[in-house]
Order: sequence, then structure tokens, then C-alpha cells
Amino acid sequence: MKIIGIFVNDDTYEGLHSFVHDTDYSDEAECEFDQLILQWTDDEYVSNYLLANKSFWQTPYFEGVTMDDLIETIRAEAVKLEDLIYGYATDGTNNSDKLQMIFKPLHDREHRLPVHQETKAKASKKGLLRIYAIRLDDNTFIVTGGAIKLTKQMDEHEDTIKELEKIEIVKKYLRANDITYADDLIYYYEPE
Amino acid sequence: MSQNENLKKVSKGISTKWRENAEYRSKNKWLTYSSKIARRILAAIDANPELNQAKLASLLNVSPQQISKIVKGKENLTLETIYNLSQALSVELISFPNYQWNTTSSIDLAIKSNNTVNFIAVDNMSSLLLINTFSYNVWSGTSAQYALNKFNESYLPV
Repeated sequence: MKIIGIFVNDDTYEGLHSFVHDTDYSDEAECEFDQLILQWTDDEYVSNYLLANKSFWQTPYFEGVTMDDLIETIRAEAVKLEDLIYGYATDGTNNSDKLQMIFKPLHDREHRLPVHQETKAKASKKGLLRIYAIRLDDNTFIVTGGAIKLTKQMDEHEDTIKELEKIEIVKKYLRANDITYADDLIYYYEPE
Repeated sequence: MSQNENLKKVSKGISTKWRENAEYRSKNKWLTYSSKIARRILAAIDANPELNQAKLASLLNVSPQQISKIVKGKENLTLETIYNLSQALSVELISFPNYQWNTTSSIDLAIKSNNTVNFIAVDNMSSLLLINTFSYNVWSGTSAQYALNKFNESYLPV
């Protein structure tokens, strides 16, 4: 069993799901999604991460930004993302807003809606945090992982490269288990 | 829909831990304070090569697990713990802002030069700097209190 529900409509099974990778999660976490939020709200984890990745943020792009600013920002973004998702979870999937309002296409300039579209959620336009997910339909997504994104492109950091690999693992799993919502392909994203 | 059935088939059910944790984080806004303290502790440990979390635990006579929780920014610390941590680290972890009882009352003596005393009126209760300055010519032997009284006589609140 590789998938767990974060919040799910009992009848339609739409909602947010998370993948469970073959990895050791902390005691408090059962899946990727749990683990991400726990890590991003953990000052020790975030400070260790930033200390180990100084070369990625001590750059002109982050000029004038302190390590404390980054920890504070990451924590605030995690809380914002969590609040947003918690709002959907508690409001039920009857809400007219769909999860695709949070999870946007990962790749810019994607002109058609592919099966198992790769998506990302972030707290703000220039936010540092990413939650990656595969779209099954406009209100059903499977979280594959996430990252503190300190580079412009995903292939510029080993952690985001790993996230791309995790996305592929999940897509392969979905295909192998015939989890494909072909009916949804007639729809496309509503304007923001 | 058969696709949903396939998803249901492989699903482990619902994660209960996240919702519980999310509710806890949402209700306990003091966690932002705990986070700020945690960062200062981590930085103090990082700056001292002689110190690590285990040594800090030993200095405070608490378990390493307790220090581990504190530096994650998830502990509801007591004032006693904050004080003891400050002492052990030789770092102030919290500070207290000025307030109306530790700032001068209505008028501050700002500058004293030659035979002129300049005052700036400050309303500490409202934290407003009142736009009013006053110069009063004093002569040798005039007390600051006398000059202050003269100022008060002519001072019109804004």
C-alpha cells in the first residue's frame, strides 16, 4: 500500500492523497505530506538544511536576506500552505473551489492537459516551498514530495532532482495500478 | 468510477496524524515565539565549539530529548526554562520592550547647550512624539526644573 488519504470524500474518493515512499518517516509522519509540514515547521531541521546549503542562498538573489529571515519565511509559508489545505479539508470537498486552485502545473507553457499532470503548490508567487503532486482530476491530487527550493531550476539542486525522480516513481505506480482519470481530460484549468 | 475504485484499492485509508497536528499548530500561535527562541539557542550552540545539545542538556540537568524538542521550536517553554537556558548559553533569549513606566513622563530634556535648553514633548501614553520644541534662555544657576516649569507654562499640547 503506497497511498494514504490526507482528506478524501468517502463517496467519490476525490481529495488530497499522499504517496508513501520507501523511506523512514519520523514517528509523527505517515507519508510525504506529513513529513514535509513537520520538517518545515522544525527550526532544527530548517537551520541544518540552510547551513548545509549556504552556497545556494548566499547569492545575489538573496542579498540582504539573513538565515533568520529564511527560517521565519519557511515556517510562515509552511503554516500558510497548511492553513490553505486544512481549509479545504475541513470545508469538505463540496466546496466549489477545487484543489487545482492550489496545485498548478509544474511546467510553464504546458498547452495540453496530460494524464498524470505534474503540479506544484506554493504559498506565494515568490515562495520558497514547493509541494509536488500528480493531478488525477481537478479535485484529486497525490502528493509525491516537496522541497525548499533555493534555485531557479529544479535540475540545479540535488534535492529537487530527487523530487523529479520521486514524481516519476509515483507516475509509474499509478500507471501500473491503472489509476488514470481519463474522463477528466476533456476539462481544462479554469482561469485564476 | 472504476479509476476511483482502483485508487481506493491501493489506499491505506486516511492519515489521522496530519489533521491532529494541523489543528494543534493552528490553535497554538505561541509556537512562533517558541520558534524564535529555538533559533537563538541553535545559533548560540553553533557559535560555541565547546557546546552541543547533549552538553546543554547536562548543564540544565534535563534529558537530551527535552533539548531536542526545544530546538525544534515546538515546546511551550516556562519562564524558568528560558531563564536557565539563557544562563547556560550566556545569551539573552528574550527581551522586554520599553513601556510607559520605564520612559520619562511627559517631557524629555533633549539637548543642553550654552544657555539654551531644548525640550521635546513626548506623550508616552500614546507613544506619540508631539511636534513641539521649545528653547528657553537660561542663565547661570538656573535649575533644569525651573526651565522645565517655564516650558510647561508655554507648552500647548498638540
